[in-house]
Amino acid sequence: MNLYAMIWPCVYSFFASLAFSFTFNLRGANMFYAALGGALSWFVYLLFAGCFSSDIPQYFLSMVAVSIYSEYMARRHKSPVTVYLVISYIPLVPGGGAYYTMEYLVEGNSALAAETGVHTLFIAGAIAMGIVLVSSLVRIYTVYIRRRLKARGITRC
Amino acid sequence: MKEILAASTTLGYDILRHGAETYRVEECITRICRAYGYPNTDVFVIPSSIVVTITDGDGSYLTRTRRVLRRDTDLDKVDKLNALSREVCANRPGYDEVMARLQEIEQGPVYSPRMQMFGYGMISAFFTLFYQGGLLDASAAFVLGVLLKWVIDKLAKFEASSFFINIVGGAFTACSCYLAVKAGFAHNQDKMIIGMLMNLVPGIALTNAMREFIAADLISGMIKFAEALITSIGIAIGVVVSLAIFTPFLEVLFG
Repeated sequence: MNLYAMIWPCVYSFFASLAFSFTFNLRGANMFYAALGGALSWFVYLLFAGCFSSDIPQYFLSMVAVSIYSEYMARRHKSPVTVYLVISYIPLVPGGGAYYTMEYLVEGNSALAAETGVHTLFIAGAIAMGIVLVSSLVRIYTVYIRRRLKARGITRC
Repeated sequence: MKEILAASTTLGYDILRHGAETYRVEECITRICRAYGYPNTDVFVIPSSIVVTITDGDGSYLTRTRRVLRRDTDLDKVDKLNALSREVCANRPGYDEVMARLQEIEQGPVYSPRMQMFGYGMISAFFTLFYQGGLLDASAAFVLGVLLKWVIDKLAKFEASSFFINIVGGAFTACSCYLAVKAGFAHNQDKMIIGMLMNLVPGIALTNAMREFIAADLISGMIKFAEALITSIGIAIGVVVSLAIFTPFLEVLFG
């Protein structure tokens, strides 16, 4: 995949994510960081294009990248992870698949509808797996750090 | 004791109402109470209610309940309340100061309805482009996105249920995109519909539900998952009904 073809979708996802700040009342510099996460999510998705036989692993890897980015940003700015995560992963939401499932259903093409519907569900599952993996690992890491600090006699509020 | 309970519960109530996760609310309240010298605190939080009981050293206890009726997603306030909760734990300010700060955050800025309409338009336009629609489709989607937000606001003013709002939103999206293409303002009906539906999809509820499940808050997770499911069903009903009935009807009407 050439670079030029990769840039435009990332730009679109950046601005689309930025516009979601108006819906979720996000202000200031956080708007930029959350939108950057949105661009990152699609960049990672495109980066792995063609590496796998289906696009589901792409969604999974992209979600892992976005979750790590959000966790990092949350720690850096001392803000809740939700602030970044909720907006950053929006480009991955399988809106297209959901719509075409409905369209095929209306057209009476149940075979295609079932195929698209299951594929959409798998994408949603892959995204959920991505969050589960990163959040769980981060929780373990946080407890580990807290224990080490406690052993050294430092307690945090 | 009463003041600490009131302050911590109000902070928890505010942060929960603006879309924080269950474990964050519970942690906030527990930590504030501990910072003021009440280590034995029982907190129970679900998305629609908070119950806090704090116990004194000599065994007397006090309970407070708050019912959360209306929730929204206000990430700016979640961020600020989270920062306030850290600060309260660290510096232990007096009751009046905490309450004043809470009120200050609660009255903080929100985007005006006009800005939110603009946001809907931008989301519609850029997602239309993102799904490989043309520039013409994107500009039409911008206008229709603004109108979509206007319709939703009007319905919300009449206190329509969110399920009904989603049905109408889905139907409005499908019908208006069909009409726009039919009138020659745009070319790709499907790309526009997908772009506009991104405004309505319950992405946030689904991620939050997953995060609740990881944090082992199963009740909250179930509630948010059901919320996401009902929202998607509402949108699907709106879109499918208008694609199946309204569009063919007009097709026959105009030939």
